[in-house]
Amino acid sequence: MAKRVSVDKWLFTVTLLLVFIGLVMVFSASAVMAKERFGSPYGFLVRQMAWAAAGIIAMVVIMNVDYKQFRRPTVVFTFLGITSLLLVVVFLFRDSHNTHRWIKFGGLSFQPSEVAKPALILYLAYFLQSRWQQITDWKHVLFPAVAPTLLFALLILKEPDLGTAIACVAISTAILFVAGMGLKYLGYGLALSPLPFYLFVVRVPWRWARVQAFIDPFKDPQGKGFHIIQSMIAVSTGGLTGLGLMEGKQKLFYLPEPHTDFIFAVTAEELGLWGSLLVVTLFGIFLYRGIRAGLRTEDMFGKFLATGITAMVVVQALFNMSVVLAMMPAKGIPLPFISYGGSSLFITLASVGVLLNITQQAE
Amino acid sequence: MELRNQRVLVVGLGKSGVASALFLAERGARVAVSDAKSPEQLRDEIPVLLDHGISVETGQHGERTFRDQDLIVVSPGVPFDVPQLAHARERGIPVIGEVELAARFLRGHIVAITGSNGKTTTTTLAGEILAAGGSKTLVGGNIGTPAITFVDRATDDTWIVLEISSFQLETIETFHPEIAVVLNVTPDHLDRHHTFENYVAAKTRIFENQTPADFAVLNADSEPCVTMAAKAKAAVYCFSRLQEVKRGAFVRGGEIIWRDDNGERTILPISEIQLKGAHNVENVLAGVCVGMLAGIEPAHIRRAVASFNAVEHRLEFVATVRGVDYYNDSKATNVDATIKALESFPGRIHLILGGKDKGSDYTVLNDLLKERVKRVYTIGAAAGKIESQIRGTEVVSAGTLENAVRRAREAATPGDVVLLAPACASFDQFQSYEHRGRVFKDLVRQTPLAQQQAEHATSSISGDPE
Repeated sequence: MAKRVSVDKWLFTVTLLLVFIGLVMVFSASAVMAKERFGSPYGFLVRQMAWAAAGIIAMVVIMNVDYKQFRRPTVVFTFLGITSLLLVVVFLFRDSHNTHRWIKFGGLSFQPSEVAKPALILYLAYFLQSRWQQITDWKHVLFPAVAPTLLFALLILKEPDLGTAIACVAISTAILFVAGMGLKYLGYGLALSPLPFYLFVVRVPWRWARVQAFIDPFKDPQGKGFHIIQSMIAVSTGGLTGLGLMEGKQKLFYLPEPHTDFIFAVTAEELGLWGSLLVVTLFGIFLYRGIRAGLRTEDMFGKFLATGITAMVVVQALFNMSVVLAMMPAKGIPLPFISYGGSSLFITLASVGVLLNITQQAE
Repeated sequence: MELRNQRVLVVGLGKSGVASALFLAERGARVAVSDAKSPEQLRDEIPVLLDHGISVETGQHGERTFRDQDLIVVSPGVPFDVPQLAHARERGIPVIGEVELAARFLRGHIVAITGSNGKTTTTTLAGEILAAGGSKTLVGGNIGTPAITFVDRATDDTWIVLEISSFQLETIETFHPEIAVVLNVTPDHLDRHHTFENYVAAKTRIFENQTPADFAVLNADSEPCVTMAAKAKAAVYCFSRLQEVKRGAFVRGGEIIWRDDNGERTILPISEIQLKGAHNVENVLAGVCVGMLAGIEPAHIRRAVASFNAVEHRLEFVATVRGVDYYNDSKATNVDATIKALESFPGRIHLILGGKDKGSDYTVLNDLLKERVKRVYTIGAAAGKIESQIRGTEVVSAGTLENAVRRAREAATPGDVVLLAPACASFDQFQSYEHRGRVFKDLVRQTPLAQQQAEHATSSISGDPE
């Protein structure tokens, strides 16, 4: 195998650019809120910068570690085991609104569901590297492959965090697809989907309300439809060129979570269509280079890892932006690299480190 | 044969299985491998396969693994009639062996050598003879380098000498050697072929795709061989140690003579052969036939034979320790090979026997044991059966090879011979017969004295002359 000396410069650059845009937008979106909460407009920015620095260091370190080191069963199953434990332990912690998404320890807090994504990717890559050709074997391959995904998705759903649960399933599906699972099986999955949809969406009043708000936000503009309408107002106000950095108004009172889940709305308002398209393009390049790395890696473990990590970033970006653009019902998914959130940023950057190492070894 | 995007299953992860899987993966096939061995036993193979994107099943042959394949390539060690393969064939999936896979891609002149005993020696010697004649030569097959790895290296003028086992012959379809040699046919592998008739039939398949422009070389001293001659479409040449033949090689007045339609040529005197044992004269005769049919000058053949020593694990001299000679004949995996090994020494033999039983009858050893063997040391799973069948000599139940060597070393006196010629397969205690042989040699050489004397010992050439 021809070893290339350097990593994929495109992926590396695009990642740094997205992190940079993220820092700028986090500052812009959070300054007012930070002043109120911390007494300084830099409150959120400083924390995010610290996490970004730690994340980039982790990325560069991991980038130089042969990804095949992670192929050992001890690594894979320890990671999977600890993640399962965290996903259960999280129920001992209570956030606001009677949810259980965060584990708080000392001054630190993080979401175990963030770790669940890379854990599933690693497990699937490990498990399928030697079994992909028999992917249609229900008993010995397909079921054991998807079992942890289903388990994690159910636990995350229970937190409750529907968005991340769906993201986990989507990432696993991408890997299974690359492993050769036929479209037939995706069809089976779709055919079965009304059942979970009914159980976890239609039967849960506030989720069903979000779906109704998604279908017709203007039916209840001051209530259920409020967030979606505000997001659309932000995007449309931005126009082609935007109002300019720091100039956005929607973040002040109208947008929920302007520095996390709706940061893309702030971006659209302040940087306009061009700025938004830049972000979309950067994710597009990330997708292209990620898939390219997967295609060029002969080793199936590397191929599945590359696919999973690329899917993890792109699926979340797609979900997040779709929510902002009212193309999907609202759910709490951050925009990778850009949204405020330390554990998410750190874990995403560390995962990109693995992807970069794979590009280094691809032909 | 188009391989790109074809789903191919390789069954059995021996050397040839791994080589086939890598070959197929390189040509764009979607490859899976299946081996009943545990992942621990395959620690060396698995990472290589995974690095090439090959799907690996271990510990079993899953029924589903054999479905939905476009082609199945079986390794020689895998019984051809396991139910999974039978079902695959019923579903119309082609099932071929590694040799057949190679045959569909190989260019050049193929020399195929089969027989119950002496294949490795003859194959190696034939390779030396062809190389001495200046031809570009590749040697492998059942021993050493798998045939499939020659596909990228052979050109139209390459001579490819392949040792072919009867297992491999079971799974051929188009394999077409220019020169096919059957050295001898004696009862072996009855555990797998069930009857002697099946075994002879399997050996005969080496001639199956030959044309009258090809050559078939047979042993005139081996009864089943002579009957096989009738089935050959190719021009038949014979070799014999005991009688003159019309066309082929034979011994007369201490010399090896070649005779064909153009008359007789003297190749070399028997005394120049360095290999021990009468059976090795037969192997040399067969090698001479290959050389002459390939158009090699008799002088080159003579030089190659005279400088040819021995093959690793085939009556290989290991060392002399305190006056006792140690010989490694780990490749004697059947009773007949053990008989040949015993015939190579006049007496005073300490014989190490045992391993994985192949359904053999060990009572046929009894005459030689009584005549030439001081003591037998039994090892491995077959020990009980051997102990109950052999008579006429002292038997020590040693259990392991290590123990057997230690006990033999204690008992042997100067002038004795310690011989590992186990008459059984190695798989109960070792990875392969090569592994068994190497362990034996290491055990022998552990003695400091052995190290000095081993330096004076004649060096043996390896089974893989690459």
